[in-house]
Parts: sequence; C-alpha cells; structure tokens
Amino acid sequence: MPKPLEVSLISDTEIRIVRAFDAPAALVFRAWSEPALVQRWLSGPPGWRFTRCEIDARLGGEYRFAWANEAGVEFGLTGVYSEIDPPTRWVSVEQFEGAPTKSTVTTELVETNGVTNSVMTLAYESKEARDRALQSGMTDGMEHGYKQLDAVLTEEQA
Amino acid sequence: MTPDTLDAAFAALADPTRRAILLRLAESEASVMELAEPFAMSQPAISKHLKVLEKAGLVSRGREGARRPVKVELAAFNEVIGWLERYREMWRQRFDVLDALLDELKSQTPKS
Repeated sequence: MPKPLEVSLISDTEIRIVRAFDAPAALVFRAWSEPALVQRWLSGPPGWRFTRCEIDARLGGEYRFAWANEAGVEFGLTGVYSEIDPPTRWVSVEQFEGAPTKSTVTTELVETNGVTNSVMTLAYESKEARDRALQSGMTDGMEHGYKQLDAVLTEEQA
Repeated sequence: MTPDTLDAAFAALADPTRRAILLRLAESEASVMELAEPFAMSQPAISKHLKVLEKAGLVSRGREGARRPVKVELAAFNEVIGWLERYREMWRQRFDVLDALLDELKSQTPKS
C-alpha cells in the first residue's frame, strides 16, 4: 500500500516533500544513487523517458539527468553533491538546463523498524524560482501530461 | 493571479483551519455562523480567518438581504490548488513506482 505523501511550502522559498517507504534506508539510498535504479522511478510525466542518467554519489561528485519526449524535446538537470553521508543524508545543488537559478536539495532518511521516513527539502533562490518550479514541475512540457488530471480535479470541485 | 496575490494565497493556505474552511466552502457557500459551527471556534475567530482568505482572493462575501454568505473563488482556488496538486501528483506517481522497486530490492537482499 502506498503511504501518504506530504508536500508543503514551509517558507517562501522552500518545498518539503515527506514520504515513508516500507524498506531500509540503505535500499532507499540505493534507489536514489544507482543510475540503473533511478531510471526506473524518477520519471518525468507520461511520454517522457530518460535519455541520460549518470550519478557520481561522492562529495563533489556530479549527477546528470536528461529526459526526452516523443517529439524529441529534451531537457536536462545537473547537480553536484555538496554533502553526502550515505545512507541517511545528502545535499546537492542542482540546476535545470536553461534555468536561471539553482536550487539546493537536502534529503534525510530516518529508518525505524525497517520503515524509512524520507524528508526532502528543496530550497530555491527566490520565491519566484520556487513558484516557477511548482508551476512547471520539471518543464513546461510536463503541463501536457497533466491536462487530464486538471480536468478530473475541476470536475471534482464543480 | 499576480505573484503578490499568489503569495497571499499560499500564506493563507498555510493554516489548517483556513484549508478546512476552504474545503467546506468548495462544497457550498455558507454564512459565518454555519462555518463557525463545525470548527468549535467563535465567530470573530472565523471572521479573522475569512479576512485572510478574502484578502488572498480565495473567497468572497455576497449580500442577500441581511445574509452575507461566503463563497469560494473557484478560479483562484483552482489555480493555487491546481499547481500544488499537479506537483504532488508527480511525486505521488514517482514514489508509487519507487515502492514497487524497493519491494523488488528487498526480495533480492538477504535478510540480516
């Protein structure tokens, strides 16, 4: 059973994403740090697939992700680990291709009785950058994938 | 919505009582008295929350004789909730897939 997901705007410039996983922290860390595993779940919206996934999970190491859609539109994300303490805590500074600002992502895992609570905090340089990230998800291309969801939500609220 | 009203809307939504009031109003409009009832709060306390929501453009007050029903401003509500919902949905989908992947990894890892 999927566990509840909590997404909150903890300040003007930050987003916090909290979720528990029914697995030890060591496995959750592997799912975040091994390219073969990351490619299986850190997907874009429907229709977008990974075209590049490289991770050097060490202090100062880089990760490079890229996704493409059926129309051949591609976008990428590059990050550098500024802190890494496997499997419980890592911090990276990342930037989407073409984005004017960087963001700092802090992930903390706390394992209790085989269940791992994951707290991810995304800190942006400004409110505008944070809101832009929220609005577009990863890119404007994502909007298309969610038109259907919009329709459902609008229906529910009507 | 302008960035300023969006900020006000996000700030307004940071409070659980105000989120509950909004969800209640999404069902139907209501008077302050009707709103105060389920929240076990005084009418002045509810009015205070409503002022914040009104300032953020999320609700408006009508006028029907002596009644001043409160209603949700659907466009603004959809715009703000819409962003967050979409963002949340993206992570919900990813993490649901991750759950399955972790189950697979667990079955491959010898129990210690």
